[in-house]
Amino acid sequence: MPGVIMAVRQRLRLGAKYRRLKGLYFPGPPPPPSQNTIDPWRLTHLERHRPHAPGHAEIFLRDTQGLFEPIHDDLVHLDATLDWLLRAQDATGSAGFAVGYSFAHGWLPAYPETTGYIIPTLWDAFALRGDERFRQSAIAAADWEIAIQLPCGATRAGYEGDPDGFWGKELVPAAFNTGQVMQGWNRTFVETGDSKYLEAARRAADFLVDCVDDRGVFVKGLSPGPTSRTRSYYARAVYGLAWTGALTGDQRYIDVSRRHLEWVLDQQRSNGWVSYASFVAQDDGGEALTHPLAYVAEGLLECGLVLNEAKYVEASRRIASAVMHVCEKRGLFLPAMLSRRLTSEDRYSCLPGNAQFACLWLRHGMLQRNLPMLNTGLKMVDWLKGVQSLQNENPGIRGGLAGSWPIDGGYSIFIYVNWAAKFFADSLMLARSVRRRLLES
Amino acid sequence: MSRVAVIGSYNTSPRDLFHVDLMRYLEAYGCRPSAVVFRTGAEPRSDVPLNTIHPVGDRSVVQVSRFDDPAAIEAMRRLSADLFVYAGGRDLLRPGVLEAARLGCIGSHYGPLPEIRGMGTVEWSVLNGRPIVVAIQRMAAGVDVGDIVLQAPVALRPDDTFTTIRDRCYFWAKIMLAVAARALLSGSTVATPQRLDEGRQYYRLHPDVTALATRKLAVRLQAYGKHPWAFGPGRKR
Repeated sequence: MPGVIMAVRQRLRLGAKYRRLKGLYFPGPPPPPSQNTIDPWRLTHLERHRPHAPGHAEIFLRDTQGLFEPIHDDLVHLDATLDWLLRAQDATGSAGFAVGYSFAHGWLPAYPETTGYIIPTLWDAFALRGDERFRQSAIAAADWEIAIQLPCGATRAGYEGDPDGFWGKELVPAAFNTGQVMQGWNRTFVETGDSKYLEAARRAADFLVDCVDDRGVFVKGLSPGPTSRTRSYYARAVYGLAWTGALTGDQRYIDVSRRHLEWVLDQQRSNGWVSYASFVAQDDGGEALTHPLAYVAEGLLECGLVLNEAKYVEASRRIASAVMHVCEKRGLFLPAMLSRRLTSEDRYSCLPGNAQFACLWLRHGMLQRNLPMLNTGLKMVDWLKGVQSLQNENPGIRGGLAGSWPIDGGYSIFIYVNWAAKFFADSLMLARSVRRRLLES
Repeated sequence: MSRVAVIGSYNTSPRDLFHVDLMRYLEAYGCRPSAVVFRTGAEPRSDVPLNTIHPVGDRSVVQVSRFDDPAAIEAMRRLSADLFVYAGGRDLLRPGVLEAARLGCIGSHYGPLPEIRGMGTVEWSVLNGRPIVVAIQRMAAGVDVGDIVLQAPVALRPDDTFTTIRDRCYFWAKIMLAVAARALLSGSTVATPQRLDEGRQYYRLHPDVTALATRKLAVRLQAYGKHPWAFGPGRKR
């Protein structure tokens, strides 16, 4: 008899262990929200986000109830996104793009970093739609970036007039932002042939090469906002440097880019995860938000293509593939933060990260004719369409994309950020191209 | 400290009245109700006197047989509320009730104002190709002619019916009443008078017209079925 009891206990213990591990590594999708009810706790901090302002309440109620918007053709969503971006530019009166639309503060000031990498999106949109507004917008933004370029060649950290005081008032040269802006100048040079953009990129590159130490780690020009001290997501900034190196033929830029990328490769683990891909982690095991993790994958991919280096592209593919499985195993839910074991207990998504990974899945899917990756990429684009309101009466919301889903999630809470719109626009243009290829194949 | 009182039809113990979801939402959003004025819709409860302010802890309840009863209105006045929140129903509130609080009384309506007023407004919204909207108005004498405080289109699901949509409207209305109440009390919003000539009053639908509305709703819902989570996260279509 005691043997039977022991056996039953053993089975129960094993069962509990199995359920715990299953919950840790293969958690299901977030539970469907209960219909027509809400935890009153979620209402307690709503007041400062002005739910009574036009268009605000419906987004909060939609998201907290797990409801979505109607889905239309890619171009319908793309045009709405691009219109939102143009409004974000108009809102600042400076040709820089507003950080976003905040439920608490309205349109925010112009953001030099993201304005830089929105520029290539505008050129792509101009090529696709032939709308002159996008060309003019791209050129105006590139000129504005030159006008605010610091004497050392860098782009500043943060932005002027931050109502939340996150960035402080000091004008700090930021390596990451510099590399992002260089992408805008490089692309504008390629599109217009005007050497002033390449000259600006060259001045910026001269600043960047000084920021990387012998190991390939960025040790200078670290933006003061993020608290992490070692940052592998600067791979995306290095894309700007490598591209400028390719355009100017300056080998220093290429060498420094490679030095950093080799260090990034050393940070990649066997499951695809990359250490230090975090705004806040203090060690190599800290959790990362999908947004900077995607920056690493984007940097590796683009540098791999610019430098014709297959191992960088492969490292990027491994990140994309790992995150694809995380997302699919949760029923197409991509949690905002991922641990080094690719686990997460988050019940919200970081929408820029979702859009970036949609782009990565579509890019790698096309590069390697990887149909499962294309499949997840297309599904994610459709998922994102469902959180874009095309009818909202508020021009700060209509056509834009929030930082978090639901809107009161943990990233850029109650803000429609310009980088979410940028990456969503990129993903829609890619999805359109993929759908056409699938039809032809 | 502003005083908010809720008006509604409830048949529950006085203490439990303050735990129904509207009260919890109002409280969570910083508009803790100080009183509830209720009628049961049937025989009055024997444990609460009629038309009398009955204390429950630091709050109070008033049971009435009809909201427009002069004795009920007098009891409501004595509550000295800054704002009444009408929880919903088919009561036509008389001017005496609407003027019993400093800022009047707010209530909900399921249709875009001023376009669609009256009855069957969810169906009429679909028939007219308009969004299904929850509107919060400062109630006035007349059918849905009050000043507009807040409006929000309601998100839909591909498997919705008019019944599930109305249930959702009812839920959204409770949250929006809390938002509107606090906004009015803090002065952060101003109610906008309706331009009545921009809309009309609608009436109960004939079954054949309801059937047409159902078909039009099915067409509208098609675009919602394309979302990967159309039928819930991770569920197969």
